[in-house]
Order: sequence, then structure tokens, then C-alpha cells
Amino acid sequence: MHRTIVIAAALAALSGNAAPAFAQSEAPPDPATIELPDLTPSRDPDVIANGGKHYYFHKAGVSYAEAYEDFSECYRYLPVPYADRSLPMFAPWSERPGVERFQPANNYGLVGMGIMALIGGGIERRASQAPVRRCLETRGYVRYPVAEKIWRQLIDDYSVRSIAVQAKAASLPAPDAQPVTQ
Amino acid sequence: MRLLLALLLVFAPFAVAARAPDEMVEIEAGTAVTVRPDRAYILFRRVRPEGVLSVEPIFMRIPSAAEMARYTAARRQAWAKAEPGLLRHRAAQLRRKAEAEAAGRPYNGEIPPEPSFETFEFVWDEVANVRRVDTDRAFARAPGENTYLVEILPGDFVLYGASYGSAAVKPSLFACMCLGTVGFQAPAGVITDLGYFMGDRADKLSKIPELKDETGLGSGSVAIHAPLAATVRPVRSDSPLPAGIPASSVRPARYRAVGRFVDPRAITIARLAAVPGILAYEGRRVIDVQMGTDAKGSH
Repeated sequence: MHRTIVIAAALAALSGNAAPAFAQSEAPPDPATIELPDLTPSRDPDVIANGGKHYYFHKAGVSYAEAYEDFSECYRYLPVPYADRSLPMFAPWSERPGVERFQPANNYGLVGMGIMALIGGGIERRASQAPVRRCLETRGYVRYPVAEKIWRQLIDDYSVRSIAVQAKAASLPAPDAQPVTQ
Repeated sequence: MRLLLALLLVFAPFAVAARAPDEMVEIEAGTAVTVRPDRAYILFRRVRPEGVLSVEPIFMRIPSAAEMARYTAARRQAWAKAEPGLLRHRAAQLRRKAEAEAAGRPYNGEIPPEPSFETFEFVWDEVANVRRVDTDRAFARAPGENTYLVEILPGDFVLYGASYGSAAVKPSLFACMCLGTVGFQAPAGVITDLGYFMGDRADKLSKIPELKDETGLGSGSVAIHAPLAATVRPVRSDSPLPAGIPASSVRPARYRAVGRFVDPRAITIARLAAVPGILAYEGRRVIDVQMGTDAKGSH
């Protein structure tokens, strides 16, 4: 029944932040209670150049309630930290599969740990962004660049509250800016 | 840097003792084919033009009622064993938090959610119904189009995902087709012809026409590994059948559209590129073209 698995800290980085379980049936909070950071389109060339890293989602004509549902569903695809992803595996299909988790082991020495410290954050960001982006873009959302500080406020480590924050941002009038294409 | 990290990832030490029997067996070139009455077979041609990444299909056999009964019983047994410890751990963490707050110290420890059977993480390894086809084991080889014949357990299957085909990469659920895919029945004693399978990396625009709408996602879509795209093309009357395959046992697959599902073990997520007459998309909808309805998914 149980398997003993040891894997490098590298996989921990891939796994990204903890992905809490998101209940789709939860009613969205009143958007009036949701405070947004300043989403005024930036003309800063650095912000625009880094739009592939730091962005927010928008969909023309979407309501807050629809956007909340979309974000709730797409957050279900956030990566699970330390998950065993190796094949073959069992999937019950009628219910969500369980996840076996690794105990991270820092067994790559100082050099490996140094590398991880340098690049781990970017990989973690991408690993979390990729599934949410894929899920939302298939639903017609586009991305607009924001400063890293604003992005962090919107994402809030993918907290439950960030669903409402991002849903409210997505349902605002379209910004006077060019969407991210990279 | 990315390559180095990928190598660290790929060659990380594993000690996996899987108990489940291998329920998919690739039949390689030169092997005489005998169709067993208690086994099913799938046949497909992998389209791989020059320069296209090697991508392998991952199939999931929907567990039988008997298997699910065993799974549920094992899960209940594991929960009964684990529950006291989970409750104790949570109580201890709550106590530490209260003590820290009473002493005016910040508490940064984790408070696990209230344990419950519904949210209990359970991994069962007596059955392994999700498996890739090893594309190094072709039944017939041709430039850009190898043919694969795989012996499987009879059942109802879902084209579950895609994996990198390089032998240097540990087989993993690199991409689940969690946002829409196809399924098919594979009855016993029959070679079910799936037609053609096509896969490619999704960050760059694929030269495979069927993958055009699901590729070209840009460099920002790459974490460590490039995301993958895939699709199928049903078999045609003029599709070649390699010598050695008993034509009288071959039946074309009857694909059906499959809606969204979640597998938290997936590294990336994708959707199978639309299959004319079978699978289509419209915004958030996954459409079963044959039925004219939203495709049924799972959990």
C-alpha cells in the first residue's frame, strides 16, 4: 500500500505553492467587499516587457459571478506540492485521485541549493501560472501586464480570497492596454 | 539553468515498489500476433514529422465496479488507521498556536484542515489503470509514422494525457487532457483501431495541422518542461495496416467526447485538439459533437 520515495528538492520547486482544495459550490463574496490594487494600465516599458511574468486576466463582458466560477474551477488545476507524478498510476475516475507526496531532500549540496535559490522562484511561479493560464485562456480570458508588486497582491499566493480579487479584476471594463502575447 | 534543473529532476533518486500488474503490453516488431479472447488490443499510428518532439499517449482504463469496491474498502481501512493520528496532529498544532498567541509570539506553523474521509488523501497501488504507451516499442516502423499494437485489459478507456517520449525522461503525467478529450471502448478479442495519434510541444506552433489551435502558446507557457499538445485522427478506410496484424480482428474505434476532469498529479494541463465530428470547444464548453450536448467529464 505504501511506497517509499525520495526525490530532490528540485521537484518541490516544480510543484509550486500549496494548492488548497477549492469548493466550486461556494458562493462568491460580495464584490463590493473586495478591494483591488491599482490596475491603471502601466506605460512603464519594464512592466510591459515583463508582461509574460506578471499579469492579470480579463475577459470582455464577463460578469463577476461567471469569472468567480471560472477562477474557482481553474484553481483546481494548481500544482500539488511534492506530488508523485510517475506512471503507471491509479485513477478512480469517479472521484479525485489521491496524491502521494514526497519528503523533499536537499541532497544536491551547496551548489545545487544555490542554483535552486537562484531560479526556484521563477520556476515555482511558472508552474503555478501555467495551468491556471491554460484553463482560463480556453475560456476566452486574455492577460494584461501589471507591475510585480500589483501581481503579488492579486495572486496572494493563490489564496481562496484571490479568486474573488482576480474575478473582480477580470470583470472590470477592458483596460486601455495591449494584452500579453508571449 | 533550466536544463540543469530538468536533469536534476529526471535523475532524482526514486525507490518505487509498484505492486500493480502491468496491464498494457506493447507488442513489438517481429512478434507473432495471437488475439487472446480475454484481452483487448489497441492499434494506432503515431504521426511524427521530422523535427517534432516524441510524445506518447497516456490511457486510462475506467476502473470496473469490482475494482472500485476494492479501492473504496482499502480507502476506508486506511482512513480508520490514519484518523486518530491526523486528529492528534491537528490538536497539537492548534495547541502550539494557542500557546504562542498567549505568549504574544507569532505562530507560523501549519494548521491542517479538519480531517475527514472525504478529503483524506489515499493512494492505491494495487491497480495501475493509467499508463503510457512506450513508443520505443513499435510494431511496425516507417518514416514519420510508426504503428503500435498494445495488449490491454478490455474496458472503457479515456485518452488521459501525454508524456514525453524520450527514454531519458522518467515516465510521468506530464500533461493531462483535463480540459477535454476523447474516450472509446476496447472489447475483448478485438483490435480497436484508434487511427492516428499526434503530439507535439505546445509552446511553439506545431507543423502538424491538427495541433495548430492548441500550440504556439509562447515561451511564457514553459515551466521546466514545455507543455504538450495532442490529438487523434480516426482511422480511414485507406489507413495502412501493417503485415502481421489479423485484419479480421480489427474494428475502428468509436470515439466519444469526454469533458473536464482533475488529476492533481499532472505537471501541466491541456485539452485534446478538436476532433472533427467528435470533440469541439466553445468557450468554456466541451462539446460532444455526436450528441450535440456538453461532454460528460468527471469530478
